[in-house]
Amino acid sequence: MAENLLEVNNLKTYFYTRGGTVKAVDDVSFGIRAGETLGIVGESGCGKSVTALSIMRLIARPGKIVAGEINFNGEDIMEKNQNELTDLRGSKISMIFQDPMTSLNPVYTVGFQIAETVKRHRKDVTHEQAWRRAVEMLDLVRIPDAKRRAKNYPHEFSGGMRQRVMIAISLACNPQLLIADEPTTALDVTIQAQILELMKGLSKEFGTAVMLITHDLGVVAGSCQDVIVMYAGHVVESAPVKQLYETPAHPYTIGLLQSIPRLDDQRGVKLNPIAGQPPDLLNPPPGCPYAPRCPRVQTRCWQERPELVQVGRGTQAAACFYPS
Amino acid sequence: MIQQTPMPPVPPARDANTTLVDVRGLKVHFPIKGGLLGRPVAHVKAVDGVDLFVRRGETLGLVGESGCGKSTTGRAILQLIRPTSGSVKLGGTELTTLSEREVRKRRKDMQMIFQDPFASLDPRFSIGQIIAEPLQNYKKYNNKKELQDEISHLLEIVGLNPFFINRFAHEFSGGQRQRIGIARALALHPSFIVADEPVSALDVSIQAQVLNLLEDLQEEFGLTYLFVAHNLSVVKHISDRVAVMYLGRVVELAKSEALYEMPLHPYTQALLSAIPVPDPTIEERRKRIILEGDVPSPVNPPPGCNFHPRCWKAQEICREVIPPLEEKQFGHYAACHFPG
Amino acid sequence: MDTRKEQGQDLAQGAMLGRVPDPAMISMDEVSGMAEPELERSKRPATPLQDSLRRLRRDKRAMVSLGILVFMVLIALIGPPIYQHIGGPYVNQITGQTVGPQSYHNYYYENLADQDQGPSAQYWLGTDQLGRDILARLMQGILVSIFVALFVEVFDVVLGISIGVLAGYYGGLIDQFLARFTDIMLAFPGLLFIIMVAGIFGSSADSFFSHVPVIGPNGNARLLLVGIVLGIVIWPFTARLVRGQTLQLKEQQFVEAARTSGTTNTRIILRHIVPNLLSIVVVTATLNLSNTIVGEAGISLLGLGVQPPGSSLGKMIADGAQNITSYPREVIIPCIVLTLIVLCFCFLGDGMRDAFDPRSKD
Repeated sequence: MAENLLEVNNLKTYFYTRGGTVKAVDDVSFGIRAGETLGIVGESGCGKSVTALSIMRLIARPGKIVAGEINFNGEDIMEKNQNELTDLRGSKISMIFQDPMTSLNPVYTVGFQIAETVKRHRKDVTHEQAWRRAVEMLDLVRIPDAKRRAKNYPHEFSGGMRQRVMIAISLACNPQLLIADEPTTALDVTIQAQILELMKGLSKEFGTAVMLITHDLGVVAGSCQDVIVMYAGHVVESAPVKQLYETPAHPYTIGLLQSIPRLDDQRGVKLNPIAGQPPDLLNPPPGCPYAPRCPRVQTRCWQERPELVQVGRGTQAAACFYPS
Repeated sequence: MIQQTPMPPVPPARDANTTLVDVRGLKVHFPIKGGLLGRPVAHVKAVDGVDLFVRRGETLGLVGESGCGKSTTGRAILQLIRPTSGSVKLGGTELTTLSEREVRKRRKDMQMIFQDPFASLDPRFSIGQIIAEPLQNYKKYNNKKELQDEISHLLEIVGLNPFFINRFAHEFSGGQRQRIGIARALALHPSFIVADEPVSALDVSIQAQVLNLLEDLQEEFGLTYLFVAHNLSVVKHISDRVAVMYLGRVVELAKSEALYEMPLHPYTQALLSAIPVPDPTIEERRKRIILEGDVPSPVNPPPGCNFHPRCWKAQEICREVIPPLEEKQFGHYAACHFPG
Repeated sequence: MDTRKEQGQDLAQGAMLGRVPDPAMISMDEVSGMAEPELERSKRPATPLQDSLRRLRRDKRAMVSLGILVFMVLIALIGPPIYQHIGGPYVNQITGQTVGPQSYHNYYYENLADQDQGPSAQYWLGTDQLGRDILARLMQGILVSIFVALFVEVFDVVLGISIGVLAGYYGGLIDQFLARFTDIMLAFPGLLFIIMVAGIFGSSADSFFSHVPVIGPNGNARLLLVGIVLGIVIWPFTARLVRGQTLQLKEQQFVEAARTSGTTNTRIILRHIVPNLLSIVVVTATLNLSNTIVGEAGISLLGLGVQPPGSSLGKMIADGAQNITSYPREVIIPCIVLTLIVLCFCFLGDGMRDAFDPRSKD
């Protein structure tokens, strides 16, 4: 296996609230190779966003990264100080967020916001050069009439365009890794298709690795090479994309795939919902976090927490005592 | 010069016996006030000539992207927003000409399930009070126990334990709150329910539970649904027929399978091709139709067919004449000059 | 993470009916031998109000302030009767009479032989330039200040809520009226207006109402007038706040749901909108109380409010200011008390705002 660009080992991020300790991310490990797209799939509360924020070291009180290593390019991000981190963010690792409406500063032009990022990370660049790069980036993300539109303010763009601007900002310094946290969830489906195409194209062109976080199994199927599935702060399954959909091993993955309506479903097919309620992060059961809802639960599942074990051939792994 | 949408020929399927809801030429225009005197300077044409009908006991899906006017259509049908023009008939009775008071009398026949499970329940009311509200508006109870029994029964129907009748909305999860909303909508035993994005705000694993519940209830009580949503996969699953909206108009209306297998309108084709399918093999092989540009603003919709600026088939006529929603194949309507 | 959510999670697990009776599923109690916890059956439901009050109780600064204010009110109410029983008989050197504490511990009793005295066993905080007991006057002053403030606030809240809600919900004429009235009040120098009214009509009000019980001849009618005018000046601001909140609440989905359920507008206003407004109004009213007290003090300072022999904090400051160089104690004491009251209201108001605002950090 090629060496990983990003390697997360045993990451634990807890939130210490007055109601108790929320184990948002509880012993998560995975890796991303250079140039590849990893999908992180899960529902709200599963810890996927917190994982991304932990990698960027953007966790604030009452949250804290209590354990784990995050190796980027061989160096441990946990060891870096604030200055090194701000150097890293934006230039080597970039992040785009879900809501394009609030991610951009409304009082500066988009060209300015892109140029600002460039100037922050390349001290030797002049203002004109930075501005030219900004226009270049806007062109790259296919904003028509980029030169003129660089002088527009965020409110003059539609939602889809604003997300393109976000992508432009994040790619301006040619990062090695782009973390995209639900980048298309707030967008219409036709716009989503545009944005995902764009991201795929740019990733291929510049060799940027992408960590795509989403709850949409369809998006993952179309954009990612490898996928990890998270539930209640744990990684429950990890596999190359085809294997995940063709031979899902963990009961949660199976349950999810069975419960979502598909366009190509036959009429009259009843959905198979996952029983039960979303997990309680304040008082998790001692064993497997999925035990309360698992149709295949056994005694052992309540008592011990399963580790990720290989299933089938290849790199597929599931955290289950009785995988498919 | 105003282009009028010609009234579509009455198809045989729309006869009075089976049609519960009949909407023709529905328009909802919101004025934008401006200038010194606050005169309307422009209008947001949220709904610009919608025709559709819903048969008794069926589910009509209403799908479209943001800004297409589907939520406004649902509300205009229920007279929560009074239409600017057009006709809405529920069980033969024309609703648009009724006074507010008369509409309120009819509310027990037409109810709504709201999108946001957190905002649609008054945080200061217990769930018992929330469900009691519609009941107390229309019925008299001899004593408190009668009312409570009815509320408990409703809670059981939607799968909630009636013991928690005195709890407050914030103590429940999103999916449960949505069930409370459904119980409230069912309380008066309406014949027609508009479900406005009822599962969009829920987790994926809970969506299936609520969708199944809606289907079960429809079967048990003979309900008629107008299911408004932006997720075509969900809509296709639960609906018998589907209407696709774009910029205030219905562009295609057909049975669910027919819509999927043979979409006639270019917008429907683009929409279907944009939806990701959870199957990497299919995704790999797909040829996507990527639409250029963004949805135009409903303040200034393009003349003629409002999809023509983004349509790859557009011709001269598309810019000049609004295509009517016509039956192109049996039971399959499309508003396009060059369908197929 | 909200503690409410924590309760909700427990509730969520138990609130569903028809838990899967799948024979393959082995439940937890079979494994661990523990009975499944009786999910929240014993816990009483927490109304949002109780939640907020609980949060308020945790704010120590607000609680201390509340304690001080309650203490002051108690002192003002039961202090005088108690104080008037403490102390022995005493000979008034000017009149030659023997007087008991009922007299000399009274706020209007003058004894020119005992002017400007320091604190002693007889006069706990000393006397002012007319030989009146400062502590007694202080207690009376606090009472007057608080009563006027409460009167004004009740006026403010009642008018503010009713007109504000109607303006926000229905718009139209009422909204126009409110907007214009508020504009006038903003442009109008409120304090000057009060001074003018109190100055012109003050004495006539006094004589006019002196026969009415409770009000009496002690300048209370004038105070009432000041109170009414103060109320007229500040209610538009509360109304505007209420109007803004009403506009917001009107668009909420639960109001739309109430309309769909067939609820009439009147009931929507009374049962959905007003209860959701109360928290904001209570906070504003609490903060306004301190402003009103200061306002009344200012008016009395100018001699237009309470008349001698009546007492109010403002009056005491005015009187004491005349002797500020020789007997600074006489002005410092009422100043400290006034400042303390205002501070306490501010802290309490802040605490209430944090406790009632559902969006506050937890």
